[in-house]
Amino acid sequence: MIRLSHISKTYHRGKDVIKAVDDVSLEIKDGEIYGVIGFSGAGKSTLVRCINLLERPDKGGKVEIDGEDVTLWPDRKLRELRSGIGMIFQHFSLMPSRTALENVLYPLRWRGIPKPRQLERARELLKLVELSDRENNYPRELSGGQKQRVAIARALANEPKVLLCDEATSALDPTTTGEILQLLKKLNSDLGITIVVITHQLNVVKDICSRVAVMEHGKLVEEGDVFRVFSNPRNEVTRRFISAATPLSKAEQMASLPGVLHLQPGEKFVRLTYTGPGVSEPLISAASNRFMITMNILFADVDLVEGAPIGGTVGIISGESARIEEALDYMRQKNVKVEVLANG
Amino acid sequence: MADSVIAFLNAVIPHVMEKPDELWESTLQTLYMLAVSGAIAFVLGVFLGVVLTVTGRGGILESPRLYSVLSAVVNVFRSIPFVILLAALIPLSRLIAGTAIGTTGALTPLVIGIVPFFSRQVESALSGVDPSLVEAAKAMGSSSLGIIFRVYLRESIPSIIRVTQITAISLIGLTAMAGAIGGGGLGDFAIRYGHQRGQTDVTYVTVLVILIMVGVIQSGGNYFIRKLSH
Repeated sequence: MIRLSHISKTYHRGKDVIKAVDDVSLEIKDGEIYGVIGFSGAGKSTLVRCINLLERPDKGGKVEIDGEDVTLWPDRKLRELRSGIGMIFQHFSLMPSRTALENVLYPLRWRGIPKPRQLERARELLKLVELSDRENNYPRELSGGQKQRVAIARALANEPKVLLCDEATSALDPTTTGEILQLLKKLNSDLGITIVVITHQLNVVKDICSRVAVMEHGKLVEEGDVFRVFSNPRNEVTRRFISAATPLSKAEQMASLPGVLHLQPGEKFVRLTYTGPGVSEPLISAASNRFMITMNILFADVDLVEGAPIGGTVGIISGESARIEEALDYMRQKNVKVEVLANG
Repeated sequence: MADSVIAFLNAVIPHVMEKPDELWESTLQTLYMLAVSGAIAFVLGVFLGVVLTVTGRGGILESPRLYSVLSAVVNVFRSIPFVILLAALIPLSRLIAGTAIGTTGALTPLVIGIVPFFSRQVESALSGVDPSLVEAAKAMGSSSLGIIFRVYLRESIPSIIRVTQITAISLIGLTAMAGAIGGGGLGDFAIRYGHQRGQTDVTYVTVLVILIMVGVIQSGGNYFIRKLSH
């Protein structure tokens, strides 16, 4: 288990004092995939570097790993700690003068492991990331996704219990991102490795994380189960993330632009947002039948997070106005957030 | 055939043909100064370049005080004209090499003259190493010494060869000057005969020999750079 308590990190640049991380406390359980999301400059990269002490937190902060306070460990012990924590990076950070195999060998060498055993282990790792046929290629001869796979193999060399991923998919295209995320998920379930994912991409968190922390200006503004956080965001930043990632936010624009929406008298332009598990499409047709209304769905965006639907539907409801109100109440009772954006 | 070549050379470069042994010996002396001072300067320069890199801002052993002292010393020595350095270092040469004259006497000023230049070159070569590689190595548990050898030096081998080429060529220039003062080498040969006695052909042949040396350094270096760049 990783426990960060009151972690702050202040930089002094001449007269300027920059607080990159501001009093963050959080706990990462063994075997989970934990996401830290934030816009760039939110301090998430600095925070994750405090876990393996690449950055030393300000006095008063404490980093505990498996119950041991590692904050004040001497350099020598810290190096041991670091080799037991894998890390991958946005731009892969492979050594360009070394082949894929030599890159994976790097963390294995100079540790008293016999040469043949090193080679065996490195090849095993390349096989795990499905790059056995590329062991003699130099990084410049590999695609972005392949480079990140090599980096993952390298990070796993010393059988770490924790893997830190610093924007590991931010430089990759969507398909490759999906492949890398699946690989991480597989490593998590097969090896039981704890994964900490730093990202600014909402879909990364949605796809693989079970819990998430949202950061802004160095502060942790929201934390919890991914489904809870994204179905029912409590903080403005979280909402901004969600609305940036979903077309549902375009509904406001549609309502405000004259001439886009043609509402007949009595019609309502609404947005229905699913905020809890157990909501699915038949709800709309059930409401239509029961209250004799029609819903013209303009667009919908439903995503599965942790197996439960999250997202919503935007459309125009028409019918008797009293019945419309009843229908909306009915949906509210079913844990659907109802917003009337315009009235006809 | 051979006779006619010799006759031709006697006609074109008569003064060189009078003393081919002396030309050969001067060439060897220049190579001796180049090799010995170059080898010593290489070790010292790489060492200083590494120290400058790791103690500089954001370096893995950041130490602003050490960096600024070293940096100032390097800058001072770089700005002293080599001819003046030659004269100024005579007592030091006697102390270190036991003599201030001849090719051995020239070694001390050569090393001191070239190391500051070379260490700056090495510093700039090492600055080409992506800082994220250093961070990755740290994250994998490498020590500072491990990072110096396995990341900084290893990853910048082609750049280090490149700056070594440049430095070796400058060093040839310095050996010529050093030779002219202490005695010995191609510079001394060209000055004594070509300049002081007006034997212009000696000057040109000397230039030709030096051009060949530069060519060997260039093409040899380029060969290794090509082979070691990935």
